Amino acid sequence: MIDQILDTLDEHNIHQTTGVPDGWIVPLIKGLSDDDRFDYIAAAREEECFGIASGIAMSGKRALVLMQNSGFLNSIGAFTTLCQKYQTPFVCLIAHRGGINDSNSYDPNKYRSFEATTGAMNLFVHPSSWEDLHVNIPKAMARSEGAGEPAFVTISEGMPK
Amino acid sequence: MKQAQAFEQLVEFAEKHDALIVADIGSQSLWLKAAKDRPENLYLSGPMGMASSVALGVAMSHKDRLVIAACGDGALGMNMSSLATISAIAPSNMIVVVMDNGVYEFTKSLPVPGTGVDWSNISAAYPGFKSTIQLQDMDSVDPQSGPYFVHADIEGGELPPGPGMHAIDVHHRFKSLFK
Repeated sequence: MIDQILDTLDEHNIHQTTGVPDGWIVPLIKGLSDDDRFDYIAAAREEECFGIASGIAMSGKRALVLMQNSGFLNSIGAFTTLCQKYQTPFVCLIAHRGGINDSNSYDPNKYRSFEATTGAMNLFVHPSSWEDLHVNIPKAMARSEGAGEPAFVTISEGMPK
Repeated sequence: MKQAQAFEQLVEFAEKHDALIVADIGSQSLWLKAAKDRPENLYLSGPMGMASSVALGVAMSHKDRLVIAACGDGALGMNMSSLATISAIAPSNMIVVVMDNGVYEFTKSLPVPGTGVDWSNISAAYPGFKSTIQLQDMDSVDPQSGPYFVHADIEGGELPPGPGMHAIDVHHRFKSLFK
């Protein structure tokens, strides 16, 4: 499954990636880090990722960002004043913690805050399964570039074994 | 040294090395524009402290071009974690410059909390940076063997001339360099 996602990213010229890890997306981060086709920039804080991805986008390249839903909540200032103001397109893959399939009972507030915030901001958010990520990430990139702002793809559970 | 002079020196260095400059909000963007408006300048007028991160994205996208992040000490203080990220990646084509005047110039020159930071020795704490040098010594570095951290000790309290450019115009002018 990871190989399929990586091949899709390569086919769509998405070679620049950055993120802050969440347990669910670690297999994909490891895949990106170990594959010479990609640069993975391990950021110390999620807000940086929106800056890095905007720099990539304004350089004419495509970027994929990976983080937990709480990372977006940490970064709304940079998102609005940089990504929206400068209209920088990229895809942000979100580990959408705290939903019904998440066994970590301490995370529901992240889930509902992400839902409420992205809904109120009228952002492009596309729920996906792991199986469909190789289809939905390119779709989200096309939508992002068409709209001139980032698009989010969310997964609500860990990768199937 | 006044910030205007510091940016004149920085632009001279950038032109010599065909470098791109990403400048932080407020003083840095406007003083850079006043020194010389170039398509290679990416002015940030919204996010405080994002110049170092945006510059990292540019540097990773174009590894054959020198990329300079021009940061205010107040702005960089809001994004200190970016120094850890840059130090770990250590892009050889990147220079981070801090314009250290000790104040938030656009906020009635209130002092920044950066008085607790020794900007002149950043590379000791973030060892991915090859060294920390003073602005007046920039010509001594090989610009493709970085990353370097540059400390510019400047005077505060003088507002730059305006106006800036619209964000979307900045974006598209900068991106057009790479088509």
